[in-house]
Amino acid sequence: MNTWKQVRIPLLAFVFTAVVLVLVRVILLTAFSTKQKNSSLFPELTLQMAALIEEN
Amino acid sequence: MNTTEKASLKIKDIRYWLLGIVAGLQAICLTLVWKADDTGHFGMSLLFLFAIGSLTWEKRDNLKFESEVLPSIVGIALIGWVLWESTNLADGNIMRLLPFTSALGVALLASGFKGLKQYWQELIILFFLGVPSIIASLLFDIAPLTAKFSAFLLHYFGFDVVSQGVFINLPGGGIEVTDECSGLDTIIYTLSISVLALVMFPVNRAKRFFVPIVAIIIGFIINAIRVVMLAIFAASNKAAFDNWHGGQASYLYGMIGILVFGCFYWLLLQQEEKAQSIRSSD
Repeated sequence: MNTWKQVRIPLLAFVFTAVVLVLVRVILLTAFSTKQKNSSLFPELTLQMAALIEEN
Repeated sequence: MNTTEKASLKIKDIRYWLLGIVAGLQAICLTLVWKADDTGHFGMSLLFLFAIGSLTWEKRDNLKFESEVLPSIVGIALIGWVLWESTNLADGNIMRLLPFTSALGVALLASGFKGLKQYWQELIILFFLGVPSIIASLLFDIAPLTAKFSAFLLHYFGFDVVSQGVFINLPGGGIEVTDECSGLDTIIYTLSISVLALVMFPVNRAKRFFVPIVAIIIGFIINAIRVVMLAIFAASNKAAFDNWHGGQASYLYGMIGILVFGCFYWLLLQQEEKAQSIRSSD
């Protein structure tokens, strides 16, 4: 029982660290995907470029 | 006691670790909802989290934090699943399941199986935030019922309406009631708000059963009125139809449903207070 009590706080610290790491990843991925959305202002850019190349 | 000693005491206090874990997990859930661009669910999640925070804060001094090895392992497994799904940026039904699962995991980690009943209010609130919408979306398709009721309302208002399955046709045009327009979201929102109200401001035991039923009926009728409006716009004014169909306008009806339910519940509470004051004066 005493051993469990000693182990409990390091275990909670470990879980907390894992949660913080995943939170940082999720926030970064969310921010990154928003940037991707913004960069899709020219959704047909590749098509337009292909058409230009064909014309030339 | 100096600052270092105070900090050391806080590190040894498991309540701070648990608070950090639960805050981090709920922040992950909110970020995922934000990423999914589900504005309605994001607002509801914020409201429910404030309610849970308030409930937990009120009983913070009476909570017992004693957990055994087995419940802790189960709790860590649940939290691990939440973290795994979050790493994969879960959306849809799994995303709606994460707040309840993470709260259950933290509750097991904090107080074990025996201590779960300390958190029954918080767990019920979080259960109704996401789980009913998953069950309803898997089991029920109320689109034909919504279409029939909306067609009945149009007929009642004097329109020359023809209804066939999920299609409502008026002389100038028609609409199809899809799953998104069936009103399941509005119904689930009013239902979950009714559970939140029942947990935070309880009413007489006899009335408790009827409150969620009234909430479901309010949600259904409000959405049917929305479908009626859309059918009229589709037949007469396409620009108005485009403005009122989908996007932010659809949340307005959810808000109206919640406001109507709020008025109903407020009247119920007033009635309870009056009955109590009459009983106490006798």
